Amino acid sequence: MATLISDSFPVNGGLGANWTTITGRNAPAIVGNAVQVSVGGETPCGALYTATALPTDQWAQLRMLALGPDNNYNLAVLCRADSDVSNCYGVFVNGPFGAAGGEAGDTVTFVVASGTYTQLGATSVALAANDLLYLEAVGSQITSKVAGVTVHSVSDATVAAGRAGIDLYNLNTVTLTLAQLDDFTAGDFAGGFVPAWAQGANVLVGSPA
Amino acid sequence: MAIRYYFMPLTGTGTRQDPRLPKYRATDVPGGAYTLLPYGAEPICCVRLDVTPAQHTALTAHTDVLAVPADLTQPVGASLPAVQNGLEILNIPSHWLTSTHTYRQVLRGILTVFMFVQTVHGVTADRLFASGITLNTPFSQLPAAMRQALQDAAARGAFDASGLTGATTLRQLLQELGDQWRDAIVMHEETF
Repeated sequence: MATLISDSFPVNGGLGANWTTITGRNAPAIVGNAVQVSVGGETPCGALYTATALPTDQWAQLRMLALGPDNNYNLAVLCRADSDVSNCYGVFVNGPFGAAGGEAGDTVTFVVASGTYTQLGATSVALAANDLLYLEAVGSQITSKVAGVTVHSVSDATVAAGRAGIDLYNLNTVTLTLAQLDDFTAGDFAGGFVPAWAQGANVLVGSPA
Repeated sequence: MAIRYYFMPLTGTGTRQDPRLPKYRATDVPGGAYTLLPYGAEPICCVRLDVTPAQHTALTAHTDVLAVPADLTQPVGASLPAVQNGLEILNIPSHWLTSTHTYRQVLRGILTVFMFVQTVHGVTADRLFASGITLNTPFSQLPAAMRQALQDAAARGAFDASGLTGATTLRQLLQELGDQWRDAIVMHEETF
């Protein structure tokens, strides 16, 4: 298992040349060295890391920094995504932190197949700031984790390949800081060794396990 | 609480704001964790739920829900006609079932077909069972775009479709290609 992509968003502004805004989405913005929406409202902000191609067996993760007061705020990490996310796998979390019940606090693993969104799993998880949100696609097995704990593991054969990326949704058009993330990493499974830090455990990638 | 498997309609239009999800989760198992395998673009799924006896009773009261017995090791036995009828209504091939199959074997067989149809859904948004199409429809009578999508999906998923002809029914096609699925099929902590 290797980390092929790592971005801690050190420069405020746009995401930079390594990223491509998802077709039909707004571009995310870096403010205070965290990624948030550039425009609040119904249209999400999302981007794919296009500077590095990943093999079909891939993983990606992000660190959750802020998540608004209800399920109108969410953060998602994507795998095997195409340019307009008409085909991809993803896992998103609904706000707020600390909740585990009903739709608010749900962690949802999903597939988009030819433009159709289907929730492959939903589980209420008590989320906390700085938790890592992780997704892997290995063959037909899709696994999502929060803070290193598996939330969903399910088979799906819909999407064969694509990019890793991020997607943010913030309904509030004024307060754009209600959904924020940092420390995006992604990679492959070459070598077979899977260290704890690369399985969504709350340790920065590259830190001693 | 008990882990149960159901074949259940998907509700939702499939947009980001209105995704497809199990029809009765919100009403009968509110907040309950689930994992599911969709039947490609068809509006049904196999869903794994952890339910109370009361929730199970509520779910099985719906005429469009098919419950799998809790004991997956038991054979289908005398329930064979009812099981086949329930699956055929959902456009799931059941001609291969016998009374000696266990429900675990039944689930595995069905889910292999689901895996192939998911591959098709990655190629086209069109439903396999569009208006007028049944399990007995020959391949040659499918819309041209769906015939191409089935061939593309077979190629993409390394399914061997060389034995298929224009006379092959959709029932035969789905079972023969599904049978070629060799990987484990995982639904949370259960592997089929």
